[in-house]
Amino acid sequence: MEVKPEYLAIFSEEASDQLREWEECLLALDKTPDDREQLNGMFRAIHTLKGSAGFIGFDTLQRLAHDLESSLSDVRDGKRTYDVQLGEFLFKGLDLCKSMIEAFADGTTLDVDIDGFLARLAVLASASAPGQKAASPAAAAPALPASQAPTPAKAVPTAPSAPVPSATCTLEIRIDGQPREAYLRSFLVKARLERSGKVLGVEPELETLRDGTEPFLYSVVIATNEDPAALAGSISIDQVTVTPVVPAAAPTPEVKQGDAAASDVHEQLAHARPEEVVRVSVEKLDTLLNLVGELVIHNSGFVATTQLLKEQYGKTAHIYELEEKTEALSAITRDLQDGIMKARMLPVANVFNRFRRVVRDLAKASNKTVILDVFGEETEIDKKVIDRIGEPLVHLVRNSVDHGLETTEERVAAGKRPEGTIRLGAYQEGDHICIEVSDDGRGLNRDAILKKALEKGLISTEDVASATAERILGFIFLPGFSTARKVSDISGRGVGMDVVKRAVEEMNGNLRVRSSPNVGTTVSISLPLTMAIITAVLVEAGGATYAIPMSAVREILKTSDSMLRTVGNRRVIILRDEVLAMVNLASALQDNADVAPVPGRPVVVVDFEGKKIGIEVEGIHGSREVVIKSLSRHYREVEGLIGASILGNGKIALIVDVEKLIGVHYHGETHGIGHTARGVIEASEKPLPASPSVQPAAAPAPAAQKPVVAAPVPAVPVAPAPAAPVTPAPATPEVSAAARKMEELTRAVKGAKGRLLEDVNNQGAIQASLSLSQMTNQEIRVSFPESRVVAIKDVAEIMGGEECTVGGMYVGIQGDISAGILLVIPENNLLIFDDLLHGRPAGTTTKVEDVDLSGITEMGNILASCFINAMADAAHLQVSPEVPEISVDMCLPVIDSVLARFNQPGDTILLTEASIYGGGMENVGCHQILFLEPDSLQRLMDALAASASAEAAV
Amino acid sequence: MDGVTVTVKMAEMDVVKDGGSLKTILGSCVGVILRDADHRVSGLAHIMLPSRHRDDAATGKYADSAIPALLARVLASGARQGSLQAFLIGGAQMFPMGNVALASIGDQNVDVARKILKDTNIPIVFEDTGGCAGRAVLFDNTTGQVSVKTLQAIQHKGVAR
Repeated sequence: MEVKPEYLAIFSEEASDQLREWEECLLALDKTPDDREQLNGMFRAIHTLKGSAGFIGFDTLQRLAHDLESSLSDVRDGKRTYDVQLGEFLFKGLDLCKSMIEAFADGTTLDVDIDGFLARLAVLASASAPGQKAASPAAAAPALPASQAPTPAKAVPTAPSAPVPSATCTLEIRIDGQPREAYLRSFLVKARLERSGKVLGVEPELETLRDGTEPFLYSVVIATNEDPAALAGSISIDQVTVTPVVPAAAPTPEVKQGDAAASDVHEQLAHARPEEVVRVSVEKLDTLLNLVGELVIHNSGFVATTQLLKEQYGKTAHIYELEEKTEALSAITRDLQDGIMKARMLPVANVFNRFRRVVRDLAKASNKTVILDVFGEETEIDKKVIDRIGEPLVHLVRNSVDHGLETTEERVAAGKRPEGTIRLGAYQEGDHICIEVSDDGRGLNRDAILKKALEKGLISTEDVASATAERILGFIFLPGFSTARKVSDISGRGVGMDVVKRAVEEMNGNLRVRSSPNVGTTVSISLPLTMAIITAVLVEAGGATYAIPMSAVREILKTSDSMLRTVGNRRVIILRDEVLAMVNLASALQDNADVAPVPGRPVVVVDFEGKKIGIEVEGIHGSREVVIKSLSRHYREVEGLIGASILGNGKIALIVDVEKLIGVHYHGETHGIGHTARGVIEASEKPLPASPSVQPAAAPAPAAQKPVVAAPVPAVPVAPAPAAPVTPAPATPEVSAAARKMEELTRAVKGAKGRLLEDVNNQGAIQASLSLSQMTNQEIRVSFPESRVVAIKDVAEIMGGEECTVGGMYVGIQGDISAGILLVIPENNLLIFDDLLHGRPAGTTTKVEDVDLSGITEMGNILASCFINAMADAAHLQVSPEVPEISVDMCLPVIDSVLARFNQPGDTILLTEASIYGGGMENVGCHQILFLEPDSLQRLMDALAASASAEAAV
Repeated sequence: MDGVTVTVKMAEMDVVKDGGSLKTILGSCVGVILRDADHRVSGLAHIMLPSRHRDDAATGKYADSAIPALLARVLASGARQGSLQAFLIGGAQMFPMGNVALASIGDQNVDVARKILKDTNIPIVFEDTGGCAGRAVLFDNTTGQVSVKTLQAIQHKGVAR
């Protein structure tokens, strides 16, 4: 049974949580057998375990958990009582599960007599509940040979934490054609169904049908809010016939025992301890937090008005009363806000705890002795961050163990302690939470990284000398910088590093990596408190109001002539014998050339990397508590801003990110590695930037006058010119309207607005990865698609060379937009994909002529529909795929008609390209290119912007 | 075959003189070769689309702008209009079954190129167009010999129903 390491890690973590819960409940039940709460707890733990086991295809565990769960469900239903005998079985079952999971994590299978155990359990069940024998699956199981024992379909992940479905319905689905093709098509159906609800069960197993004969007929039980007829309509694709069976009075046995029972648990839990724990969705808390934010804003409006009244009319009795009440209201509001903030915070221990097991397993797998040193577990982090930080951390920890730490022998030889140490910790630093993963291993090989970066053209030879260590190390976070196989010899890192970077950037955080040879490597993730109240100094600059977080402010002073000096070409302030560099806020944000300092202007002195720096502003409006509203995605590109706040007078103040702002301005380099990396890519695309000042994005000042959510997007400066010495669309007067439009669009796609499009494409890529992985039972990774402008003459070269043999699969997209997706699969990978899709070991097919193109086509179909769905969902557009078509030929012929079809004026074409990896393929498995007609691109971007601002306005 | 081999990429054109050869790979694109055997000048244009987009300055992409441009270049390299011969290759249907917009590009390219050559009074002495396979073309300027290679696997095309 092949399971992805990631899934395995997640599974191990989850399973150990469930086993712990199980054990605790079981121990408690030993003392108080009547405790229903413990019974329910155990039931839930076993049920969850069953679900996770099913998800990764761990059939034996699933079967074991299933029967144990059934016997417990008899107890809950009052069909039998909980006694010592059953308790013993549950203890034994627990131990059995434990050892099975451990063996599984080590990649071995435990040779135990599960069937014997289950048979004895069945006997126990039938002995205590003779009347129920037929109804109990536990009793039925041993009657069947092990191979035929009912197991739920593999593709049914059970997520007990998901909201309980509102209604279930059963759909009968028939897919015409060869069973094997139909099997592939069923994944499409599944993908579509999962957009409307939660698939609870599939009967019979699709795998069985694949190997059987026509017709390919199965039923699906789905929990959904949608009308069954509408649901049936949503999956009416070619060759698929759907008949709703309503209501789901008698769903498939599997489902009844599984999820129906699970909802029982939820119900019973609700009865069992209503007053102790209420599960509240994060969305609800978000809504509350937003409302409280509004309250704070209005409250400060009251305060301001009261102040005005007081100034105007003096302190009359009424005004006094008003003031008093306003103050009381302020206090309550603040407490309310704190309370809600706290409700969202969880100690980071929630995530960290899992790593003991992860590290243990990894260490064992790599045959190293590793000590995990955890600190700052009590640091509280927003729930959203907790949910999302796990995966990046697994990547980092795994890299540290796998590649960072040396083997015991190597360590001893290097004079180190034989056991390696991984430190995993969290701490708060100003307005940020830092999470660090460090190891005391061999460190990153800077020279190797540099060499590779030079090879890939990420850095020019001239730049090498001036490149900082941080910049060089930052290359490892670029997508595809190194792949699993190559890492160990270059850096020992790189696996999933781009995934880490993505995740962190999505949380608006920063990644930094420090490393010294033979001492170790530390990766710090710095995350802002996404929604928070901070005390800030309000300042005036460039006609707008900005808030500077108080945490960064050392002092505020007014300058005089005698304090202002110029040293070299830098302006400084002399403050009590200290020389402070000075930055003008307005010019720093707008990135104008420095303006001459005006004596008498206020200067806010802030801390930056241990130094003091003066920020010159035009006025100070005092300090205030402000609510950080995170800027919509559009603004994230604007360096130097954390967020925005609405002031009591209804105006907007943009909150300055001191560290970044000064980093950009002062070092001429963005501080976060993520952005540095992006800068590097951009720099490699254009011959610029001699001046580092290209980095910070467009001036936020004009935007500050308008409500943030609806503000026009400041375009990030991106040179529209392509890389090659191709003539860029000339900016001469003859430049036609169409060419100009294309240029604009290109800029928009590369700019801030393009982030929306990027989001959609990423969503598609994620879906595609999941679907393909599931379909092939292999880890298939679809990289996040990138839009770029490519010279037409170079497209074939990018795909591997004009003349090499490839499979080209084209799916047109019709409807509200007109687009096309072209998959270009190298010859060799065509063979591998063919084997994967048919469940044969890679290498079975040796000739292109033997490749079953319908399978490949189906794969392309799935890829395409993932992207199409993502687009349709995000932009609320009606789009549908055309019939896919495949052609095996030389690369250039395969792509030329598609390039012609999506012709754009000029020598270049804007294409969105993703690479597909996995399935044991050395290099890129295939390229996926998304083409959009210019008008369609425009429409898509507009639709995305519209729905994004509609969402933001809520 | 003596001299250099010049590869002509998509939407580009090139000219060789006194020996040398021209190479290009074509799918639905059409390759137009103009040759003056007497003056040993040959030029090749790798054309993507039949008619020029009103707003597009990229002449090499379109038959109606690329062929005149190629003609001008071979003449500038010493060819004489009267002794020019044309070779027309490519224009395949790479995705023949489904999408009409895709399938018809090759044919249109060939039709328009043929018409323009006729209007320009250049005789077409060799034509290998249409079909469903890509072509690797190698043209020897010295001998005027053109070799067109297709892939073995080309018969292996499919469409999902």
